[in-house]
Amino acid sequence: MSGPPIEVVLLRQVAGYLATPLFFVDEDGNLEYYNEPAEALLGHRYEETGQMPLEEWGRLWSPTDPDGRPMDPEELPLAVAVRDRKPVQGTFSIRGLDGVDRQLTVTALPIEAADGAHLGAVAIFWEA
Amino acid sequence: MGHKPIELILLRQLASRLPLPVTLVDAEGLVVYINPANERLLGLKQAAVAEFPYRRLHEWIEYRHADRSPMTYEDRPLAVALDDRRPHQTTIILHGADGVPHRVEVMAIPLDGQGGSLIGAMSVFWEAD
Amino acid sequence: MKITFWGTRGSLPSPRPGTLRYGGNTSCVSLRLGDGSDVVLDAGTGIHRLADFGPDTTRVDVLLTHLHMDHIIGLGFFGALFQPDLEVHLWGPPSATLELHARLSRYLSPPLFPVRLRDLPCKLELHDAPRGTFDLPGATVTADLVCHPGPTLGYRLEADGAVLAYVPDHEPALADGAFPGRADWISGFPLMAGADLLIHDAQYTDEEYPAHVGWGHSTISQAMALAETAEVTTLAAFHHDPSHNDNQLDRLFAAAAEERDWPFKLAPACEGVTLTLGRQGVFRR
Repeated sequence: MSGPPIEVVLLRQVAGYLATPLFFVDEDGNLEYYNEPAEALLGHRYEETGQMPLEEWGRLWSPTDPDGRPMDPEELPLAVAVRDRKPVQGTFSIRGLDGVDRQLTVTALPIEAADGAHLGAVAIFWEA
Repeated sequence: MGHKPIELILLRQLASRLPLPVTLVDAEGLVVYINPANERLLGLKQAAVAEFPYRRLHEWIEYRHADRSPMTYEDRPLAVALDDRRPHQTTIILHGADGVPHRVEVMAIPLDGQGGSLIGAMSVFWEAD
Repeated sequence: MKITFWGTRGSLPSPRPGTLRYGGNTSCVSLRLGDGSDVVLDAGTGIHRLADFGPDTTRVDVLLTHLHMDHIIGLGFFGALFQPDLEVHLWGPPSATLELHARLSRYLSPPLFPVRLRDLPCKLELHDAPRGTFDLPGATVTADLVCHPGPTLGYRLEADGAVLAYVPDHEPALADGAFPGRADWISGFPLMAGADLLIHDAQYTDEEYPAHVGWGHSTISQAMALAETAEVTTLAAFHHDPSHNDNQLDRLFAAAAEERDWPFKLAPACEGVTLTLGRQGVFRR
C-alpha cells in the first residue's frame, strides 16, 4: 500500500470534520497539518505555512510560558510528546500570525501505528 | 442502536489502531466504543456490554481521585466534557471490572462538529507518573 | 422525478473517443421534479451542458456535495447564474470558520477565474446545508457528512413518491476490514437506506484500491455491497475513474453484475441518459 500510514489518513480526515483545533507533526517533529479551526487560532492558513521543521514552527507563533518567558521549541507539549512518546498537557501563550495574542491549553498525544511504529503526535488545543 | 455521525465512525477506526486506551461517547452520553487497549485497562469487553449510558460505567468500574477519595459522576472527565463541553484532565485511580487497580491520567475532550453540534466526547488514558 | 446525468466521471474530465458512452464530463446530475422544480446535484464540467432555464423557471437549487475541483469546476459556466431574473440557491457543506461564499470564492475569483461570485447577474443565495432534513420546492432533502477527505455531504431527496440518494464521493470502507458490517457504523447509511435509486461512487477496481486507500473513493464491489446492505432498488455506479474507457467499464460492470444474484439492479451512470423515478420504479427514457 502506497501513501501515508492509515492512522495518519484517519487523523487527517477526522481533523477535517471536527470544530476542535488539531495540529500534528511527524515522528521528527515536522509540522504535517493543522485544520481550519486551528487556522483561526494561529492566524494563518495551513496552505500558507506548509510543512516545516520543529525549529521553525516552534518559533513561528512566538510561544511564551505563563510567566511570559519565551519558550524553546523543544519545550512545547507537542515536541515533548514526540520526543518522549507520552501524552503531555500545557498552557502557554502565542502571537498569531494575525497579530493577536492568545492563551492556549494544549494536550499532545503521541500517535503510534498498530504495529508500534512511531508516527508523530497530535495536539488538541483550546483558547483558555 | 442509532446511526453514528461520521466523526465517531472515523474516530472509532483510528482508536481501534491506537495503543492508548480510548473511550468514545455520543452526544446522548452513550458509550459507543471502547478500544482494545481500553478493554484491557477496564477489564471488560465491548461485546459483552454493547452500548450503554456512560453514567452506568460505575456499575463495573470503581473511580477514585488520586487521593483515593470516591469520585462522583460529575467529577469524571468524560462527564465534564459532555455536560460542560470543556476539556478536562486529572489523575485517577480506577479499579477495572477485573478488580485490578490502575493509577492513570485521563484526558477527556468534547467533540464538536463543523456545524456547531455536539458529536460526543472522547477520553484517553495513560499511565500516571 | 426526471433524473439526467450530465457528468459521470470522477476526479478529472476525460473526454476522448474511448469515453463517449459513459462520458468524460465530471459530476453533475439534474432533477426535474413533478411540480416543475429544478435541482442540480454538483457542478462538475457536465453542468455546462445544462440548457438555460426557460421563462417558467424562477428558481434553481444546486446542491454541492463538496468543494473539490471536479465538483465545482463547471460552476462558472452554469448558464443559470447569468440569468438576471432567476433565483439560484447554492448549498454546500458547512464549515466552522468560513462561509460558503468565501470558500467558493477561492476558485471563483482572479487569478483562477475572471468572474467573481458577487458579479453574477442572477439572484444568488448561498447556504450551508444543515446536517438533517430541510425542504426545497418539490422535495424534502436530508444531508449528512460522509467519509471523504474534507467536509463532504451526501444527499437524500424524497419527491414524487420516490427516494433518490446521491453520494458520489465516498469511501465508507476506509480502514474497515469488516465493511459493510453493522449499519449504524456505515458512513452515510441513513441517506441510502431503502432508496429507489442510489447514485454512488464506484471508481476503482479491487486491484486498484490498495494504492488509493484514503483517497476518498469506493471500489465497484464495495458500492455493490453497500447497495445490498442498504436495500436499494437500483444502483447507478458513478464517478468513473478517468483512466477507465467505455470497454473497460462495460467489462467491469458486467463482471460485477454477474458475480451473483443481487437483490437490486445495477445501472451504471452514463452521460446524457435520463431516468424517470416514481412510485412504479426507475425507468430509462
